[in-house]
Amino acid sequence: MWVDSDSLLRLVKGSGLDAEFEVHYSELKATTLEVEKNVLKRFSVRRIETAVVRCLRAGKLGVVRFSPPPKELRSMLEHAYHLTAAAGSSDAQTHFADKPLKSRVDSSVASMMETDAGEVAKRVLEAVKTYTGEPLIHSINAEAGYGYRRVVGANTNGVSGEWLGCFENFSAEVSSKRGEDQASASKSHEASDLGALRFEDTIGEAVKLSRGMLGAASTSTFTGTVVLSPEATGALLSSVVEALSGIEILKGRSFMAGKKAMQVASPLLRMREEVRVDGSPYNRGFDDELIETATKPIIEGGELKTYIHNIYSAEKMGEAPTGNGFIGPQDLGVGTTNIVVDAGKGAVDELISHVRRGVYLIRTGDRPNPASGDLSAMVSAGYYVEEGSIKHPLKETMIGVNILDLLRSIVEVGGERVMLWGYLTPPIVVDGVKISGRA
Amino acid sequence: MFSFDEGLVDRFSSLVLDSDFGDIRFGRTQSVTIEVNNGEVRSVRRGSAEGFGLRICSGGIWGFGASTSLTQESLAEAVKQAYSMIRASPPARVKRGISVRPVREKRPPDWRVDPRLVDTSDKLGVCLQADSSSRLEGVSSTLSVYGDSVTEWLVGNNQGTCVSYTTSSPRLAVTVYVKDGSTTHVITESLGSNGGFELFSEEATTRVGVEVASKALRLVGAHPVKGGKYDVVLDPAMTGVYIHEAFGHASEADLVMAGASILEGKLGSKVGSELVGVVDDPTISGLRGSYTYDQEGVRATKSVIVERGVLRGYLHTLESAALLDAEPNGAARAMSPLTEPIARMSNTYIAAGDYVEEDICSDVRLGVAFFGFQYGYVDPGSGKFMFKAQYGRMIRDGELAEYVRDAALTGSTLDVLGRIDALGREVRFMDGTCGKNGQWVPVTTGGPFTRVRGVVVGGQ
Repeated sequence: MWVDSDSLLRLVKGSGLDAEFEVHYSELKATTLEVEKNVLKRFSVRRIETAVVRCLRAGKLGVVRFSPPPKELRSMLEHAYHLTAAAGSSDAQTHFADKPLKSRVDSSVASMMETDAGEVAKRVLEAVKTYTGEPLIHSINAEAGYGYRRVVGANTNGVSGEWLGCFENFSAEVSSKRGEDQASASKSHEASDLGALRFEDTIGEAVKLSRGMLGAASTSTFTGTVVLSPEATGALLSSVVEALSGIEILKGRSFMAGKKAMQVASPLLRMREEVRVDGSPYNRGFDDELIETATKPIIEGGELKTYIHNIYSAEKMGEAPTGNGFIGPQDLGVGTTNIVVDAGKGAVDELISHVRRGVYLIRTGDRPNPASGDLSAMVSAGYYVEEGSIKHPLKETMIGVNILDLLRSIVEVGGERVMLWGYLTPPIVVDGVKISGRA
Repeated sequence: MFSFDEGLVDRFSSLVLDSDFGDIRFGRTQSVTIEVNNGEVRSVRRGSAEGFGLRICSGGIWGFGASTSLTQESLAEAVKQAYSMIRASPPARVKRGISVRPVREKRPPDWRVDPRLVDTSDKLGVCLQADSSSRLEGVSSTLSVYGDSVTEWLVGNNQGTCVSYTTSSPRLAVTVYVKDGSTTHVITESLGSNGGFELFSEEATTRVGVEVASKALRLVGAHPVKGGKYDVVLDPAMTGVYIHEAFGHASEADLVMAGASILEGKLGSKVGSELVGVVDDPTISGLRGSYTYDQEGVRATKSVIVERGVLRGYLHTLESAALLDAEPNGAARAMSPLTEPIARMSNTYIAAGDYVEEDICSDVRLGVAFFGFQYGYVDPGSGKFMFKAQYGRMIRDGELAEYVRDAALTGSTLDVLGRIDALGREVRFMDGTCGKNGQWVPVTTGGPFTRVRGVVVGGQ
């Protein structure tokens, strides 16, 4: 079905029901291809249409989600209307967005739709072939995905908008083997233009990391310095951004509660949300509640400048919405566009050269306790560092620190930034971290 | 729009006559999610979803198409697109000769109360009841989430299989926050099954709320555990999560085939202590991870993965069973018809041992006992894992001592499996949700109390 903002406006304004409505329609087409053990294994194409209707009536909110939407979208309005009577939220926001939208973010969806999947497969296979048969490489698995998402929204206040966005991503997982010793590593890359994806470089990075993790050993337990790779910095800062969510603060599960306008990090850390970053698939002009997105400082000179709100959390906390409303598959929450951390100076090698004893943390899958900020993180990929040089890859090693202590203990910010999952981050160096091992 | 019947599978089969193998899943889902925060109804959401996903295998390459549009045109378009991509791609070296024993069955649900027929206000009542019972004195914040999701499935293939069945995964999760100086203790407990709404009696929902609050309040004054190497005791929840995450994922045959599992090439080899048996069993009645057919239309089967420390088998899809010369064991699961079936666990547990529970700490001089599960993950390719407990207790001279918070353990899967030297007599289960390749499915994990020697414990 074809839905545009004018038809949604007519729908919500002409409902004849004594309630406010907001309709959010999205259309997704995603193509992926997978290479398994160096051989092309699978193509997939998904087309998904979804509509979410929110109804505000007598202080109650009812939400219905249909995938696909019914041909008569009006029936969804009636479902949401009746839900407010049966069991609607009694703790709802009081209004929907009421300021007209100025901007749109469009990208070249037409060229994306014409992409030849066979050609993409050939490019990926050529890149895989470059590394097949290299010493110690046991297997290379890779996945390339691309597609577009079109979003249309409108509410009874007469606010409406549309945006189109493309996404492209590529990930490679490489397994290395030497005798019984096995190590694996993955690397990902994303863009808003298929031509910009670096298949060969990404596989090459995963090959290098995977081989580098062979011969891993644990370390003793000590307090030392941790150099976080740009990817590890991004992963940990994403948990900080989540903790800035007004929703999480209201639920009492944020270690950032009550910290606005306070010094929460080293003065070296400058972090902001940027709604437009060249080549990023996360650029957006308005959020899922039809509020303009906005570039804004988050942490500046170590001071926390803002929380991140949707309309509900902004109302409850007496602040203005920040254009971060997000409607996910399960949740009505907050989300961000691009998070950017200012670069400092020095490559990772240079930062490591200053470390007397510690760990170079390339990857961890851990996140801090959202309420307390306590972090116990496994070194999934990383090296033991002594007297300024890398000694050996690590296994059975954890780092333990409170995330707020980590932010305050940043002693250096590196210069080489990497963009991944919407985070453009440099490496950082943190002192005074507990490192636990078996040796 | 079309109705769910065998004719759909026949129509699909007629479109894929020249493929090596083709299968299709149709699904129609209704769901409700309710969130209550500190006694206030935060959100009530209803969802409806339907769609299909089809696979065609030809010349060793799979084409997959999925759509939320249930029309003849969408079906024909998805088949055409899958074929066109297969034809456009370079030839593959691996041939995947899948042969199935056809099954035809219409399986009725075996619940007592169909969640779809329960009024939303009754579900809200369950959520409010649990939330209210968790707000004991000293509790600073509560969050209770009720969710149910019922899917009618029709699964068939071009070799004659056509089964229809219904899956259901109602669940109530209660989280309690207790402020303790500058820190906050967080504990979550849940109640879930693969059945109907009958699970949520007033007594059961009240019990969940009271238990979770009591656990959180016991942590007041607890300090972070001091990092280092310890002997550890895992409660059934942590035992279950360890065996699910650290070992179970590595036994999924798609990862084995992809060269991404430490268990590749180890069938018949010793992979752990002789005390250890590992089972995945989707046929256990009433557990959240149970089912009758998987999403390839294969009957669910109990699988013994490890017996007396020796690796006996993997968890298979039709494809992996064909390639690795094994019997399909009904372990191919898809989150929705829009996603592809991949090898997954169901109810995974370590079998019981012969230790009396009370004695399991007795010869631990200095150790940590782990209780409840917060989160964890593993790299099946290297075997590195990390799990975090809801809380811990120090073990001093054979006795459980003070409570500790943020207790986490790390290790290498096979190394730790070999260090198990005591297993309790009683297996207990815990429900959960497992993620893999972006797909989330209901599972259960379990085991007895387990003692492991010399493990790295993370802390501050």
